Amino acid sequence: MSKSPDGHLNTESLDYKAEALLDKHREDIRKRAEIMLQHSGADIARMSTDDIQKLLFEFQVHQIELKMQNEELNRAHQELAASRDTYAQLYDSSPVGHLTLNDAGIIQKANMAAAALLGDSKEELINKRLGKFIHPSDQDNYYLFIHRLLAQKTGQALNAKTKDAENSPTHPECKYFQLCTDVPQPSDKSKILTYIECYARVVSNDKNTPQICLTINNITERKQAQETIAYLNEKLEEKVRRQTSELIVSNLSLMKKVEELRRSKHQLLEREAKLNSIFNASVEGIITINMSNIIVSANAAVETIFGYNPEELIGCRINKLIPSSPREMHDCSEPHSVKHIGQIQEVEGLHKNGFAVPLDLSIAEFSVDNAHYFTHIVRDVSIRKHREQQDKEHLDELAHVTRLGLMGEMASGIAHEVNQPLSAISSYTQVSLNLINAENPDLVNLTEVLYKTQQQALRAGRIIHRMREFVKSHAKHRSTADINSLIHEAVSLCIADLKQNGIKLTFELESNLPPIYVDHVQIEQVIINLLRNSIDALKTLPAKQQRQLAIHSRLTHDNSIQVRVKDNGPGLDTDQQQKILTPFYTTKADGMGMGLSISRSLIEAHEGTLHFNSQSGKGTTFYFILPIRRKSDEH
Amino acid sequence: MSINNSTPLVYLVDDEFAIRDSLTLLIESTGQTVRSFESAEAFLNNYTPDQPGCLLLDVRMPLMTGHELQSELLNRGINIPIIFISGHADIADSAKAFRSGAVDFLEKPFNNEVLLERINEAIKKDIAFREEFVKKRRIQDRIDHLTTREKEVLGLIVKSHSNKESAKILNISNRTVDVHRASIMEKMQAENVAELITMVMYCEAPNSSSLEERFH
Repeated sequence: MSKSPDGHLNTESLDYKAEALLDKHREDIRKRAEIMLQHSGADIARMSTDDIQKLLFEFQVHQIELKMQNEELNRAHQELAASRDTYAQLYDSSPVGHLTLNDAGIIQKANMAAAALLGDSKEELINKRLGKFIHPSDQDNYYLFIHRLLAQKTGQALNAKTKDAENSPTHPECKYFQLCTDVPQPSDKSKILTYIECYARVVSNDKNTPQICLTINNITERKQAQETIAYLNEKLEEKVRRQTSELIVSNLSLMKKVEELRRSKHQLLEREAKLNSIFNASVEGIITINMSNIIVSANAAVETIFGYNPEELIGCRINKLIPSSPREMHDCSEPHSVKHIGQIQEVEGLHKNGFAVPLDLSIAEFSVDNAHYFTHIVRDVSIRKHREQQDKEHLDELAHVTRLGLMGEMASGIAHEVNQPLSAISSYTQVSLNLINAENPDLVNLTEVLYKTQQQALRAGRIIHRMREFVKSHAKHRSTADINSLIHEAVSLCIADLKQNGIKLTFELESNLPPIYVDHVQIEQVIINLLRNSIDALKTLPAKQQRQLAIHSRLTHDNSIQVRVKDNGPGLDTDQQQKILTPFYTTKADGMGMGLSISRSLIEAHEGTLHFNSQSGKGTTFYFILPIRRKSDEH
Repeated sequence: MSINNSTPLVYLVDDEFAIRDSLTLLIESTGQTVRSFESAEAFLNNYTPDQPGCLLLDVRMPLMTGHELQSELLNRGINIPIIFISGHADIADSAKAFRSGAVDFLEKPFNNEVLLERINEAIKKDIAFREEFVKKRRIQDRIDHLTTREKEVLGLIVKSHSNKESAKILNISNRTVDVHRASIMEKMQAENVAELITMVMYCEAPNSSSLEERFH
C-alpha cells in the first residue's frame, strides 16, 4: 500500500482492510479444509488404518501448511502494522496539513501540520468546527465550498478512495481552493492572517456517511509574496503608467512646441515676406531714421512721392524730405520728448524738383539694442486735398447760392434798414440847408449836423457793404474771428425783420471768448439762417403773444464755442424734428428747404456740429458748436 | 375841458435815434416844438391831450407797433392826427393806417418839404377840430342847462313846429310855450330862431374834422 502524496489513506481504513482480508483468508482455509475432509473419506470409522494413516499424514501436512500460512499471515500483518506506523508517522510529520471533517464541517482528525496551521493542538482541534478558524471575510466562500463539495461529491465518494484520486480527472471540483484563517500568533496578540490553500475530497466511511478530506497548505508567505509582488507590480505599473503618461504629455507638448515653432517660423517667414512686399509695394512712403535724424532706410514709394530713389536718400537728413518734420523740431537727444508718435498729422514734403507735396505723416518709434529709430510713414494727399478742395468748393457754391436766396428773402428788410440812415441824411441835409440859408448861419450847429449826416451815410454804406460781402462769391479763406462780432453782424442784417415782426431780441454773449478760425461769411450765414427760421416761426404766433428770440454764446467745458438761437415759437412736432435737417424739407410755404441742411454742412466743414432742441408749443433752440482755434494750428 | 392856446406840439415816435434826431432838428428849425419818444409805450405815458399837435409815427417798432398805437389811441378817444412814416411802405400797411384814420403815410426817406407841409396841415386840422369841439361843447353846455320842459320845446322848435303846434303836442297853453321859448333863446344866447336851429344842428352833427373828412 503506497502513500499518496495527498495522504488520503488513513490508518483506520488500512486496519480495516487488513483485518477483512485476514478474516476472509481464514474463512477460505476453513472451508477448503472441510471440503477436503468430506472428499477424503467422509467416515473415519469406516476407514482402514492405511487410510487413517494416510489421512493423518495428510492432516499433519495440512497442519504444517496451515502453520506456514499462519506465519505468512503474521508476517503480512506485521508488515502491514509497520506500514501503518510508517503511514501514521508520515501523516503526522507531513509538512502539509491534513484534516478530516464530517459532513457538518466538524474536525474529526488532524495532523500536526494542520494543528500548527490552525494554531491549536491536534487533540484540541477534534470536534471543533473548521469554520471557526476561517476569517469572517471568507466564511461565505468556505460554506459554499463545503456545501458544493457535499452536494456534488457524495456519489463519487468511493472513487475518492482510489489511489490516484487527487490526480484523477473525475474530481475536477476538488482541486485548488483558497481560504484564509486568522490565527492568533502566540508571539504577539495581533492577529496575523494566515492564508491557506485547501484541496478537498469527499469520501465515505464505513458507515456510509460522507467525510471530507482536506489538505491544507500554508500559503501565507506565498500569498504575501504574491501580494507584495502584486503590490510592487501595481506600483511599478502605476509608476510606469504615470511616467508613460507624463512622457506622452511632455511628448505631446514637445510636439506642439515643435509644431508651434515650425508654424511661427513659417509665420515669421510669411510675415517677413508680407512686410517686405508691403514695404516695397506700399503707396505710402516708409522712411526710417535714427536718433540723429539720418535716414537709414526708405522704400520704393518714396521715389514716387519725393522724386529721390531710396539709395540716394540713405544717409541724408530727414529734413531734406520733410522740412517741418516734428522730429526736427525737437532736441534729438531726447527721443522720448516726441509728442507726435502715433498721430496722423498733415505736413508739407519737399519734392526733388522743389515743389511742395501735401502729406499725411505718422511716426512710429522702435528700439533695437538701445538705439531708437523712427519710422515715418508718409502719404501723398494731393489727390485727397484736391477732392477736399472740390467738395469744399461745391459746398461753397451751394452756400453762395443759398446765400443769394437768403438775401432775396431779406431784401425788403434790408431796404428798410438802409432807408433809415437815408431818411436821416435827407432830414439832416435839409436842416443844414436851412442853417446855411439863415442870415447868420450857426456854423457850430451846422458842423454838428453835417457830422451826423456823414455818420448816417457811412452807416448806410456799411449796411450795403455787409450785404454785398454777404452775397458775393468771395475768395474763400478762413481767419480768426470773434464769435460775438459775427453774431452782431448777422443780427444787423436781420434787425429790420425782427422789428417788423415785433420780436424782442436778447443777447447773452459771454465776453472774452477765445477766437475761432472760420470763414466769417459762412458762419454769419448760419447764424442768419437760424435767426430767420426763428423769425418765421415767431411770425406764426398770435399778435398778442410776446415774441422772444435770444442769442447765447459761451465757452463749453470741452473748449468749444457754443452759439444758441432760441425762440418761443410754436416749436416742432416729432415728425418735423425728424426731417428738419434734411435737404428740401421745409415747413414754410415759400421755403426752399435748404437753409438748415446748408447750415449744417457749413458748420461741419468747420469741424463743428449743429443740433436743435424743440418742444411743440414751447419753442425751438438751434445751436452749433465750433472748435476754438488750437495753438498747434498756428504754425 | 378848458381850451389851451399854447403852441402846438409835434410828437415823434420812432425807435431809431437818427430818425428822431434828424427830424427833431428839421421840424424845430421851422419853429415847431417836437416831443420825441423811442417807443409807443413811452409816448402813451407822456402824452397830454391839452395841446394841439400831430403825431409822426414809425410803423415798425419792437413791442408795440405804429398800428397798435393807433388803435390804442382810438380806444382812448384821443383824436390826434397821425402821419405814418415808414422805412418800407407796402400797400397793405398804408391802407390799414388810413382806414384807422391816419392823415398821411410817408415813406422814408421822404421829401422834407412834403413832410413839413403835412405836419402843418395836420396841426391846422387839429386846431380846427379842437375849436369846433370847443364850440360844440359850449352849445352843449347851454343845452345842458335847459330844463326838461325847455329841452322838449327846443326839440319841437328845431323840428319847425309853431308855438301853437308845440302847445298842442305838449298839451300846455300857448302862453306857457312863449315863456319857455323866451327862456330858451336867452339861455342858448341865440339872436333868433334861425340861429338857434343852426346851433342845435351844428352840435348834433358829426365832427367835421373827424375821420372820413380827413383823407380825400
